[in-house]
Amino acid sequence: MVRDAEAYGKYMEYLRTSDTPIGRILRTPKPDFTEVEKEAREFEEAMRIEHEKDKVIIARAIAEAKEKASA
Amino acid sequence: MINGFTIKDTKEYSIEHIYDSSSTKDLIATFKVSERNAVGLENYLKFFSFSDEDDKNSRTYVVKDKLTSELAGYFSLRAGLITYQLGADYDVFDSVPAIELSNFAVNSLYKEKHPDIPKLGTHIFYNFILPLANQISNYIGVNSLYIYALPNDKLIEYYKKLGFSRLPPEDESFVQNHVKPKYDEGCIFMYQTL
Repeated sequence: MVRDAEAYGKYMEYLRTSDTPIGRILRTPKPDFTEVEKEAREFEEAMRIEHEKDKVIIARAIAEAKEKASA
Repeated sequence: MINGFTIKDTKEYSIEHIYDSSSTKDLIATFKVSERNAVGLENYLKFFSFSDEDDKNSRTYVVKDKLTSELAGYFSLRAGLITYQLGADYDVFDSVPAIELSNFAVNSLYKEKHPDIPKLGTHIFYNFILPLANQISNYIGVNSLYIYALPNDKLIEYYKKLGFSRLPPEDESFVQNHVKPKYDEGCIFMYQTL
């Protein structure tokens, strides 16, 4: 629990601006995910195409199995 | 009212908690990693992930191919703290609230079936891990996501691409020597703010 909010505020301000590992972490900007997002999107599209091919293979295998079963 | 949150499947992949489906245990038995030094990730999933679930030490999620139901990859998250000493005074410590990405691996058997399509890990990270960590940070105070990355230059570069940073060498060595658990010996501390 924060017993003294003013002291807490001062301490956090010190941490944020301090030359300490915690200060450095707190000041680290959020990463830029532009490239990661692009790669993730490209991957999903490539897998969509791959899955279309897989669906054809699966459908063919099912048809062959049915044909064998009815012969 | 505080609403719950949802992590959505993507068009081609689904995300599940390891206890969500009865078939997941069988799928896990087939999971393989490609690198020998990453075999700990394979063994964790197979032999320790369920007991960690029971103890609530960690939550493990599996990512499955929606068409074939194959296991594409998995990851584990746990609550954590990034702890440091402040300045030269060895008695004063403080910490940053964080989430540890304690395990993250893709299934090499699945990758081998799709050799021309890289970036599966990027897809899992961007679409599942990051949204989950961000959602959690909307509910409790969480500043960062961190990992102890396996000491492999290629892997470290890859994590940098995913937005993780390394600390200056002296800060990093403090984590290596004081905070990091024994089973992560040699691993590199990396973090990103959420």
